[in-house]
Amino acid sequence: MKIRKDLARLFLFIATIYWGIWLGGYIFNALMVVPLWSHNPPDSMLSYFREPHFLLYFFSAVNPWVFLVSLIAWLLTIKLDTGSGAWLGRATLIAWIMLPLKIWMIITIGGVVGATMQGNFEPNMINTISLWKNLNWLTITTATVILTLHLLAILNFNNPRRTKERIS
Amino acid sequence: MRKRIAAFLLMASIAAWGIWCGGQVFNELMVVPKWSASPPETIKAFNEIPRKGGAPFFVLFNPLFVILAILSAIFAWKWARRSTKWLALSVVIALAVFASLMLYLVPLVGSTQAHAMAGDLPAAEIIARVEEWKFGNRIRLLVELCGFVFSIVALHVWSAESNEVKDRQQVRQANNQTVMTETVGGKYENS
Repeated sequence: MKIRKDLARLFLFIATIYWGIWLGGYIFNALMVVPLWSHNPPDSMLSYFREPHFLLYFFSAVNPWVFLVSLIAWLLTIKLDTGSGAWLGRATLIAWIMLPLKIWMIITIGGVVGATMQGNFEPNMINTISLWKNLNWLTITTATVILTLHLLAILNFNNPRRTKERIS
Repeated sequence: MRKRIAAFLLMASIAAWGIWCGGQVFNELMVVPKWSASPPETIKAFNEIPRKGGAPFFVLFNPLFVILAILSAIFAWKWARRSTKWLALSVVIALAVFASLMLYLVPLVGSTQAHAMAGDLPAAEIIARVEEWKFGNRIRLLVELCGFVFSIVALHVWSAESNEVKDRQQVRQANNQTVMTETVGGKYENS
């Protein structure tokens, strides 16, 4: 049980770091990068995406793993006497509910960028970009809640689990 | 009440550290390679991209994570024992990062970009300055990530020992009550 508790703590820390990085990256993207390519499509998209240079693609570096790490951390807290399980459970549930939306968003914006670069931009894609931008802020808000729940899990990690017996 | 404020500030500080580090990681992986690929031409091309909307990430979050690191340490210090070193490390790193940015990295990248736009420095000089900035920026990023991890450890250790402090206070209060009962009652009984 000691090893399991240490592992749960380790994965909770990794998940918190990952969600912090995820949230910061997405906020940076929304504030500093999205306005560059989305203000006047398709011209602004062509000028921004014409020469892609990156060290590592941020979105694929964080997106599948952040959800998995939270799930592993939560699974490890099951049957442990720790107050963090409930918080991690909520965080993981919200994250996995958000995941299909995130996948849809990645596919959708990838399709718009791909079509634009091939010269197939259509006027109705402006609405898609607008919807994507709003949903991007929605996922950022959701990720803020998820990160907060991870922090509450850390705060309560050393507290005993709240059971009905203990409450009564 | 103060303990709750301390817990809230510690959590807010970690969130601000995370957002700041995440933004810097994104910048380092996705944005810096774009304008630094072949300076000074790529710097000019990047700065000439028209932009509309958005907000300055650096101006918003740089003061925020430093202020929250300091405030959380001040409020949490009363209950801190072993966590003092993590709280102190988090504050020292936040201040060091802030100073390195304000005194070295921001002026360096600002002047490099201005010279690249004006075209009044040889390309080799611009390239050397960009490489110097990238090296310094990566070191800063590594130090920042340490600060982020230390702030998480601080919350974890602090939450455990603040409960211990509370328990010790409860035991002390219970002992005081026992002594008072003995004195007032004049007989030896365990309350």
